[in-house]
Amino acid sequence: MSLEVKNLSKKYGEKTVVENLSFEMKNPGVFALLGTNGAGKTTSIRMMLNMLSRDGGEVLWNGAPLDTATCNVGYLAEERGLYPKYTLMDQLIYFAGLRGIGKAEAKKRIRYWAGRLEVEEYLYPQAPKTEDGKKKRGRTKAQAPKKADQLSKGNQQKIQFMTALLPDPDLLILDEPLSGLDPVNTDLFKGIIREEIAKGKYLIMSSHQMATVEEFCTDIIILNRSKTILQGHLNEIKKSYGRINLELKTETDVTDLIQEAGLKLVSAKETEYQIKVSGDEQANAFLKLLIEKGITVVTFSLREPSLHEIFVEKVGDAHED
Amino acid sequence: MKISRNDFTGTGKVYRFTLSQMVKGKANIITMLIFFLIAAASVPVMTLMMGGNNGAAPGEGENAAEAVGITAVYVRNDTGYDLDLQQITLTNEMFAQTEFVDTALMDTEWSEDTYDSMIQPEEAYVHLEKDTEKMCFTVGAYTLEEKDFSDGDLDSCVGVLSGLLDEARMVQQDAEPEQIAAMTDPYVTNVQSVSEYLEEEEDDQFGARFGVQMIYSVALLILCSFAASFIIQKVIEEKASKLAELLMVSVSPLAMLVGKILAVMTYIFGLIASLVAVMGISYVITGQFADTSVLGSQIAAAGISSEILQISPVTVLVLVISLLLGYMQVSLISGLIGTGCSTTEDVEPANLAVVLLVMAGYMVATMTVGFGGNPVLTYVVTLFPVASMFCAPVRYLVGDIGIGMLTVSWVIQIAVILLLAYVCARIYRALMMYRGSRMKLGGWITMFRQSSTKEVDHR
Repeated sequence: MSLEVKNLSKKYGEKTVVENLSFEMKNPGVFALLGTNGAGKTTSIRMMLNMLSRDGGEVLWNGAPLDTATCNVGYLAEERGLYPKYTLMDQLIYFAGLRGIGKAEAKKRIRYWAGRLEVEEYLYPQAPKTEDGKKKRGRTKAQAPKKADQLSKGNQQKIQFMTALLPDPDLLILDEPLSGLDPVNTDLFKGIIREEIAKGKYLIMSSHQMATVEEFCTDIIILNRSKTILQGHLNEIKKSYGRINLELKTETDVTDLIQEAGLKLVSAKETEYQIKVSGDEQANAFLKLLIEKGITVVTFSLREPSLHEIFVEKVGDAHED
Repeated sequence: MKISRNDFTGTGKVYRFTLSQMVKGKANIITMLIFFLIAAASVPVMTLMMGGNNGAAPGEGENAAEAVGITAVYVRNDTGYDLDLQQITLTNEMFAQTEFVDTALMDTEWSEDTYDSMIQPEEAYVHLEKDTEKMCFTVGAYTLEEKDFSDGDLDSCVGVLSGLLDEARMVQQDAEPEQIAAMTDPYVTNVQSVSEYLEEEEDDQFGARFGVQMIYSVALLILCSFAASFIIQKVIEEKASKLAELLMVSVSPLAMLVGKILAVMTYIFGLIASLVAVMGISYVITGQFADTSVLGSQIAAAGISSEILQISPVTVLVLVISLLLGYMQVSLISGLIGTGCSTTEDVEPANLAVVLLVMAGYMVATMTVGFGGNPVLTYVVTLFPVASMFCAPVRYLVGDIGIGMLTVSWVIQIAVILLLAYVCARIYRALMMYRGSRMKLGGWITMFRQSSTKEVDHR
């Protein structure tokens, strides 16, 4: 299986909102679509899913135009939506039915995902128990099927995530999947995303949470003002930057030595320093200097830039241009 | 952009879901119950209001007022003919409460000299005899001085007994029942000038035409208003709930709209059929204790007869097709207008826009119904979109246009439906994704043009 996005473009009047977006996923994994607000991420996803007309370009799944007939797609939209006044079970069965899943199979899958996402109490309300531990007779309000507007935002998000997972999709597109979730539910979602990756699914994820993207993604694309400003394999991108972040902890103040060595001090907290270096050579030379000066080095760690740093740098550069 | 079968994949599922949610909706259930109660109550209430409260017990109420006030008539028959006095009570409603007693069956001797000691103020004595000298029959009617009924009642009594005697005489001459009926059938006289006669006929015709047009127009107006309201509500509900994206991954926008239109149609037509059934049951039940025929009489009095409606299976088919075409046009317009809105606050203005459009058709229909003699006006209102869905079937029913013109009107209406469906197919997807203030006509045209440009570019 493979996904190929070629020269996707969109204009609203004279304003270009997506300009020649192209990328490819030849293997299962997570592809990150990153960008500032209004960069064109959601528009690109909508065009990929044929919700918006394109001014140019094509999206191919296994060489054929991507649609629900050629590809089993699961989609968690940025704009979360559920029918507020219909019961959750009715809605889920309906959404599953639209994807060609029979009622019995849908109920089976709903049961599974309700357990995984910890929303069973809303989908299968139990009768409250009496003082002697027996269930009350007759349907009480607590047993009435729950509607979307009776759920918290986080639980609604779980139900929406469930709708994306119900068809057991080959391609799962998640637009800001973790936004608005508490840490516990964030971990829950992450666990499920990891499972989907392990199952060999193709995931496209749009997010502003760089740490999360870094945790899952193998390939990224960064959009800024409709244009692609960076694209490629995440590790290779990082390698291309080299190890330029130096974390240093000493027993004495070395601020003067840092300035003497011509390094850029990013931040300092007592004797802990975040320093920018040009590469391994400059870092080694600085370490040598510290040793020569008899400074006790507690921590000396060189690392590649984080995705957050790359993103900020790239977007900043693009703005300056 | 061509409409393909794929555009309708999932229509059935949208239809079933929308319909099931409509039927389950508490507000709809309450509305249905209210309608059912009104429908059930309408027949007895209308019957009572129109004076049909004595159907099951003849002799009470209005008919009782028409009945004679004589409780018993003692008949001395010296004519030589057998008179079936019981027949009067059975066949003449005026005498349904009156007992006719043959004095020959009584022990007492009755005569003009003795009757006053034997009858009550509410009773009468009638003597029928053959006067051989004058070669005629005489009917003498006698009451007390202080009688409890009018002279008219007594005249009616004499008249009915005279008629009975006439029938008896004819029967003895071997006359057949048809012959007797031919000779004794009553007739109504009407004296008026030619101008009065023509004016009355014209008034009757106008009343009937206006009545038919009003009934059909109101029915279509209600149908369209309901349809517009439900469809706009359903479409905006999905957009306001931010469900458009989620749904559009699985089903085409056109299927979403068509599914909704069909579901609303099933709901409304089902509701109408249920209401008719409830009214039918109510009519039967009401008939057990009241005279429901007054309802038919009232409709007939308004000049709406089976003749003017040309009632036949074809007529019913014409009405059903016309209602469906009207429904489809309004539904598609409602779908488009509703999809141009983004929030539930836009429901009312969107509804108003559709209702005003439908009202325009309604007004044209009712204002022009009196001009049946003007063929140009008739053809214009029959063929012009929106007005045609109100006018065409009625003008056909009252005979202003033939089946050919009706067919042309239908073809134009189908063309309008196809055009609206084409517009939907082109811009509905973009409309679903549209966020902003309620889209005006200019916005639609721009969107349609943009979709046309893109299609050319893609080619």
